Amino acid sequence: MSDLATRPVMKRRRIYRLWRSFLRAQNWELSTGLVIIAIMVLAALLAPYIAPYHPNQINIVDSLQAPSWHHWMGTDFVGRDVFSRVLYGLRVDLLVVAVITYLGLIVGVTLGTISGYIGGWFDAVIGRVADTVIAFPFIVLVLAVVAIVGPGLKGVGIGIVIVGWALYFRLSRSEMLVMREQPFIMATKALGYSHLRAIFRHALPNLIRTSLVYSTVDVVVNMLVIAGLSYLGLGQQAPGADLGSIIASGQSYLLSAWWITTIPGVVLMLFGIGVSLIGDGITRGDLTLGSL
Amino acid sequence: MGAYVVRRIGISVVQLLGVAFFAFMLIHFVPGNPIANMLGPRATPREIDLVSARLGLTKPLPQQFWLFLVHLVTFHFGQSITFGQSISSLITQRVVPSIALISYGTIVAIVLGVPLAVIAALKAETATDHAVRVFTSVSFAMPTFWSGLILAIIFGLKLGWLPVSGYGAGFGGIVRSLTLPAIALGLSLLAVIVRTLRSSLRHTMALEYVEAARARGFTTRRVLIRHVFRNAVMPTVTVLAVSVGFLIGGTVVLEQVFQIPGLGTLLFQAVEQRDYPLVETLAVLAGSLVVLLNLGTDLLQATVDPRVRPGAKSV
Amino acid sequence: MSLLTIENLRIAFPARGGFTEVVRGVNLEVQQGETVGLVGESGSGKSLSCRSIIRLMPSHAQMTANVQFDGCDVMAMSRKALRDHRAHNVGMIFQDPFSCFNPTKRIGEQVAETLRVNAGMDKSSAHARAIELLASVEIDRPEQRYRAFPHELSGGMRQRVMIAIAISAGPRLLIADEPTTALDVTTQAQILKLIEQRRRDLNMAVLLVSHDFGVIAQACQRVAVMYGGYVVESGPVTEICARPQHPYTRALLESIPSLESAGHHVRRAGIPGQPPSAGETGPGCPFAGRCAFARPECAGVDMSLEVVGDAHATACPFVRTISATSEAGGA
Repeated sequence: MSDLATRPVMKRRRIYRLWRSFLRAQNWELSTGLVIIAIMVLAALLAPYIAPYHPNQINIVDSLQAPSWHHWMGTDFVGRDVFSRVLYGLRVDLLVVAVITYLGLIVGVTLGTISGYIGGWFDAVIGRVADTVIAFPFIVLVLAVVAIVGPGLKGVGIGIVIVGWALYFRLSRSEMLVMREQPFIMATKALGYSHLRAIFRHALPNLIRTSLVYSTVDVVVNMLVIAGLSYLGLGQQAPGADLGSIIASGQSYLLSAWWITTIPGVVLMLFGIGVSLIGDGITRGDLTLGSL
Repeated sequence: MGAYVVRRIGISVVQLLGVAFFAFMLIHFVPGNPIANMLGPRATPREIDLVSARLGLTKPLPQQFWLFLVHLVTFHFGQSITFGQSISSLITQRVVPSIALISYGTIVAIVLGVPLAVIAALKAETATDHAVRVFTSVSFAMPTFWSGLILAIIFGLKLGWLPVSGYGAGFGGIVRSLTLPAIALGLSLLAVIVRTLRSSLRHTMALEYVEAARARGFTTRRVLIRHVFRNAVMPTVTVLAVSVGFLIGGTVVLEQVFQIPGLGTLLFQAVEQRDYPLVETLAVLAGSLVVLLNLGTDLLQATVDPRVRPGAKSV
Repeated sequence: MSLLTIENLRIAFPARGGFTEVVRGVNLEVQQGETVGLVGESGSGKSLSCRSIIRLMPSHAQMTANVQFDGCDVMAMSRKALRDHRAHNVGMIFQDPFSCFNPTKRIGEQVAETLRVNAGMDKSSAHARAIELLASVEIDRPEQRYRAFPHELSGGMRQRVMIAIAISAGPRLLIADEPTTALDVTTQAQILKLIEQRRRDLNMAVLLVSHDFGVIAQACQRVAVMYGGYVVESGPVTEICARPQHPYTRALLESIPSLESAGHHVRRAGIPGQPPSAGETGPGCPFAGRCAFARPECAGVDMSLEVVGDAHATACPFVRTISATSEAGGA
């Protein structure tokens, strides 16, 4: 019983401690990461107000201009402002990556929790499906889905969710297996709570942490996959821009106009570093792809 | 041990069947008529029927799946429609550059990663350790195709040291043409190697038997190599095997950047042309490769570490 | 001249804003061929103190001392000389005989490795000698056991192998850090007997570290009692058992099951309170907080040992008045 009562309090305290260590800058990883990501999210949200030009506005006279006061990040081969395109591209990429990553997380954690709790044939079937999905190389399966759905961010998104849920499923299933035996879950049964209540009110809040921590790795991987497929021309379709397609559009001008390719890549890299730092700050440990 | 091996192989067989089934089902998820999609708008209904019949799509599903499995096991993958030649010959032509690139990239990652991990573990929680961590975070956050392009600008176009596209002839030519993509690929894998190895090294170095070995008067070198490294390296090998999927992904993109005629390019073309049988075959092969590599490392682990018992999988 | 002299040993670890001393000025002497005990609760600094003899410290520990081994200054040794010192002069066995073996190598190979590296033997003679050594620590069927992995042996067996490794170079001193703690009572007695036998055969000295005064009393001639980083009492075992001076030693002796009641395992009253954690204690006697005879002056005690009898010394300056009061109270 005491467990039931103290758990939420402990949780609040932990968040409070994290917040306090952020303010005191003791946890430099967390504060730096949060600042980087906050700036990027703000820039993406406010893109219509910040961007000096329309992202698709062609101006052949000003093509391939180097970065200057008028065009902070230069212009591309048809004179579009790279800074404006990067802002709008970031907007697209952040939205897509957030939606698909956390959609995968929700599906995976929900199935994993139920699977771990009830076991039986449900667990066996979903477990085998997850094993199969994980066996495929990520991009190969996403590409296969793109082949079916057709090029575009829709196909890429569907593909990533189809693959992405499986790891969260595994994580939360194994946590649930452990938690099922713990006193405070047993207590909910003894108290006569329904299964749903036991799972969602009491187990889920405790086991979602691992998945949230892992999502800091997953978001970066997904971002790179989206950018990669857009670079290949299978993601964002012209004239819309995302970071990957902007990089691709500069590929023919690597020597004469380095900025078109270089700058969006730096933005992608900063995103990855920011998210990884947040992950490091939360765990202060060694959680990587490998510890799964 | 024997029981463990049998059980572990059994799991892999089930996984392989799952992989095949999944790939097989893909074509049936295509909205509308997949053959019409594939042949394009100018195909006549007669052509569509003919191709459907040739691919066996008119037979009942279970029979189709059985034939698919039989063909896979006997390496009869059938014809590619867009390339107009047999899928097996396409694959044999394209397999070498991809395998060479993946191996080369892995070697780059190991050569860079192992010393970095050892240094970071020995100097844990110092400035050096933090520097290594930042470096690997940066290399992990870089998109492979982008770091490939940057390398191409610097070492290919500006300095002119290495070719930026194509696939050279002879061993030297191959190595030269694959060096830049392999570095880009290796950098993306670096973080995983360094972090896994660093943490298992730290874990192992804190064990009592390492202290006991030092108490016997062994040199630091001997303790590190004979007692720490050998026992700490297994999780990294496992991670490397798991990362093959990740490497294949990097290869698909990098082959496009550097115009390498490998399986990645083939898959890309197959997806663009909607050559479903080819996509299906490549997906099955890639999935099977990952399953078999995982099986291999688990069996290796069982031989290296005598404590691995049936059912008890400890990392 | 004594085999080993440790003077003013201090070991500190970096802590928030400075260092925390966990060993605070320990003196210890071991004569050729004798068995000396080092007894104290966990955290008293006894394990670190015995590791100072071969300078086997955690990397961030700060150690200062004057350590003389057979006329050589251990603190001044070069890395090479220190390795030789560890390899040839001092053998060491540990508390947990499982975790101090490399889990992936056969135990015989681990014995042979020591012989090859430290005694420069070739493969086949190291193999033969390793089997001899295994036999000398009373392992039956040593040829077969040679090929066993650590997890395939019992705890007592593993500790025997550990002893075989430790004595393989014929050391002058064997450090045994809680060698019997992880073992059951019967095996404990066998291991202690084996150590005693090997000590006599090889004419080596033994430094036996334990939290169990019973073990020390069985095996040692002299003992030093440690508490909170200090040696609080030292002297001949029989003398200390009969006339313990320091209140901590008294409490420790009272808390062990008496020899008569062994088997019943009736624990007498334990020492109330918890041992202080490192960094919690300021100047003065660290035991004052748990001591039944504590008084205000305890905070000013300098913890140096004062001789109270034949080779018997204690750090508590109030022992005479304590004896008086406790006898008066007991009467």
